[in-house]
Amino acid sequence: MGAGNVRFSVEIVPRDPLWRTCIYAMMVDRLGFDTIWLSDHFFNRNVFLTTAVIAKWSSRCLLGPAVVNPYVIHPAIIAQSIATLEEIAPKRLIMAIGAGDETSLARLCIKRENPVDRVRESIHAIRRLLAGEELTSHDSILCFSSAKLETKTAGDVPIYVGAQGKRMLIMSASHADGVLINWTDLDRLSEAIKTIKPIISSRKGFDIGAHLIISIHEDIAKARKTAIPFAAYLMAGSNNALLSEIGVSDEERNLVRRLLISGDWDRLYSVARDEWIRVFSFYGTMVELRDFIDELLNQGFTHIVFGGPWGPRPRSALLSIAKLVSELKPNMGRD
Amino acid sequence: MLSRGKRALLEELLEIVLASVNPSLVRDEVGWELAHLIRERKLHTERGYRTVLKAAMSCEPEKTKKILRRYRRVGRR
Repeated sequence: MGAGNVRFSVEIVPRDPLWRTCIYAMMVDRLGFDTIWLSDHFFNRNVFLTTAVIAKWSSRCLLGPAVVNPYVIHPAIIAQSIATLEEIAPKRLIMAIGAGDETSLARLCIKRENPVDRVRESIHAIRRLLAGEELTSHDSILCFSSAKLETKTAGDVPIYVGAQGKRMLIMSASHADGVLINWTDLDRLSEAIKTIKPIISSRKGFDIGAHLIISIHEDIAKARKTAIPFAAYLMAGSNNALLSEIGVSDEERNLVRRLLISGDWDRLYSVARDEWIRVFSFYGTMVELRDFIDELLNQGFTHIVFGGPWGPRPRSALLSIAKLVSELKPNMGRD
Repeated sequence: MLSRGKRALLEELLEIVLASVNPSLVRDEVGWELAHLIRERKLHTERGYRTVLKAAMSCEPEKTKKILRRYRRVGRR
């Protein structure tokens, strides 16, 4: 498949001092990627404030807070934030919403109840609020009473869903403008795309994104080592059914979780196993990454998101990824 | 205008600053100055070199000294 219409984006995690996030955002913008997705975790920099700053340090990339969580932030506040950002960076906003992982929510004493319903209702509420509608609803999922934004309308901001599970994927395909599938192994990505393809056949323009965790280096051992903490974080936050499927016991998950919290990296590197590192991340050389991306394009993905860490030398890795993308998509706009 | 050697050194130091796990050890003023220099495409100047060096010494002093020693050795040859 050609990559002419495929979008290539980068995810930046706003855990660094803002000046460094801005430097990376400038790089991504100048290298010609389509979108900067900014991840949302309560323990990092605030995603909306960071997006507002990034908007002034970039000029052409779309900007996407992702994946914002409707348990942590009321959908009306999400809509308000998006409408404000749309004023700061007109026509450059895009967003993704998702139910997040149980572990992170538990740290805020929030229960992840009815995740598919919560995300679906949030999509519709955000869309209607951005379009300038007044909402009143007293259902058990979301409650509004004459809620209306007094901002400029921004009803055409695309709303994506960050999804992994089958029900969330099916819901996304029916209600969202696109999906960011949070897997990095080919089998699960392939399974996910098979799940949503029949539903989106009648939905022109629905964007199917693979949200990847990437670590590249010519020395594979170095690439692997850099991928481990990122894969470990995702593994530790996964549900028991998945962990059982990939052969991770409760003891192993709890050990990894403890090592992450204590920052005992040497021990983490020694206990990490490829059986789960490979499920949650891609590590390897640029040649291997090229093959991996080719396979995703063959499967029908229309959007590739290169999520960090990118590699032990992230700046060089980003430059190499941009080169790969420009080979796949020769007309990619560069500054 | 920086010499070719100093330009290569600057690139290595920048890589260190952008890969460091200790970016919070860089003073915000230095970090923002670096970001502004990159935005204004003035990184490859004496001022840019000094700023990157300051940032690298703050977040990764040992790695930075090692690189500086290597470049000095090469420069003497």
